Amino acid sequence: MNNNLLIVSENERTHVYDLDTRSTWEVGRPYKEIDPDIKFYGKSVSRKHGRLQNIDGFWFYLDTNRKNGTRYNGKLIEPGINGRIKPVMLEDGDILEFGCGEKCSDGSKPAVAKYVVNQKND
Amino acid sequence: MMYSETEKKNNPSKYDTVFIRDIISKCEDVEELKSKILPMLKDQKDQWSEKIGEIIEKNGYTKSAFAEACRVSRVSVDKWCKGAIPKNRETFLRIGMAAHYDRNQMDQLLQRYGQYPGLYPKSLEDCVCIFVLQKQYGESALGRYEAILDRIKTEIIKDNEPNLGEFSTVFVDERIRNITSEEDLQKFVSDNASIFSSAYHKFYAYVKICIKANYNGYAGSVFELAEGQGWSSSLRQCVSEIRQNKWYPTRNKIISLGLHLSMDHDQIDEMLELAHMEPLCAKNIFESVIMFVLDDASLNNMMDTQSEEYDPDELCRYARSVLEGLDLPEIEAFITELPEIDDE
Repeated sequence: MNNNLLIVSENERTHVYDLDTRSTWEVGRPYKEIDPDIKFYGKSVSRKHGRLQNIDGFWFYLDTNRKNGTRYNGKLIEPGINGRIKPVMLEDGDILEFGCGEKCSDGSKPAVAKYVVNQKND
Repeated sequence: MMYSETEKKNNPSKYDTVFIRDIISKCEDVEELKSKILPMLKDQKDQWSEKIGEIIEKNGYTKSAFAEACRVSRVSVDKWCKGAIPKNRETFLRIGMAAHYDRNQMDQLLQRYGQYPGLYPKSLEDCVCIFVLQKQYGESALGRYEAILDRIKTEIIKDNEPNLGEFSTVFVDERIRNITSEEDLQKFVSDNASIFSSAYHKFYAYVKICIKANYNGYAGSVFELAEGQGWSSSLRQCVSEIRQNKWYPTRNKIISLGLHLSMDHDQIDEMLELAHMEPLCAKNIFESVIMFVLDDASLNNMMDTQSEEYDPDELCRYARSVLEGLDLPEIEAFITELPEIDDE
């Protein structure tokens, strides 16, 4: 069995999420009653920025907010036909960058997450 | 897009495909597609016509006998001899077995003439085909292939849990090479059913998440979506089996599914790759038209900033209107699956 982790980094703070503890993770910036599961605090991250979802043991990232965007392994995730969401299937080592792709206007670095698959020893 | 002379010389086939792909993306309408692309692909038809003629002659078949050997109609063979390329990968397997090919020859037939991937050991059909080709059954190859496959499929459907601890393709290939009897093959498949049944689990998951992400009104149920949109019975069966993780993907069905789900070019290529197939090929006439339809639809949507409504059938209707106007061979079944253009 494998252990699916998301290693998240923002402004030199790092946090590790064990994705297997739930099937869906909302990604975004906390604001009033909006309380995402994976939290980023940079202004270029939307309140409801995206979602990680598990289907049949495979993890996908869904970019639900086109305004600020997400990069997947350096490439911006574009919407599909008529604005449809194009899910991205995550593989070990994949990198997600939330919000701006380079340095943000407030001087902070973009929020970054790395998807890691650990082999569990049973 | 510029190509160096070295690139063209070293890999002329790849250069041609990329070049054709580039031209398709620049076609502004169907007439331009017809005038620029279809003549370029004429060579492919001529090569196929030659190949079929060579197979028939070399094996001493009449056209009728060859049709019987491939389990197709005489009309189909006539069309092949005139350059019509089979639209199903399985048909290529039948042709290769009727031609008494070995594995290398079969791979070449699939890749060069069908633009399909070579035999993939973790696909059940290909696994059985590899075994049959090894055994050199001769005239009875296709019959043995069908009989073994039927027997095994009943067993394997019972176990459709994903095998997330993977055996490598090389390992599976090596095991198949060492199998000498049908009984041992059946036992190997049965003992390792999860390898074969999980070969397409990434594909199933991808289809399900695309539906969940974009068709919330159907509560994430693939079947409800298909019923609600009035899809053809064969496509509804396809999605029903995807829901149960037991559909064996075929190329044209994947393309049809992608159109019905309003997927763009990248997404259909993703589905094909997850089903262990090559992406859409510019050198295949039918697929070059599909590429034009998808690229054109994407471009038009990007320019239409007013539209907020999803029209689930819009892409399918557009595809139908383009395909009907081009009179391509052997795609009637594909076209009839697409919703008709409204008469308003």
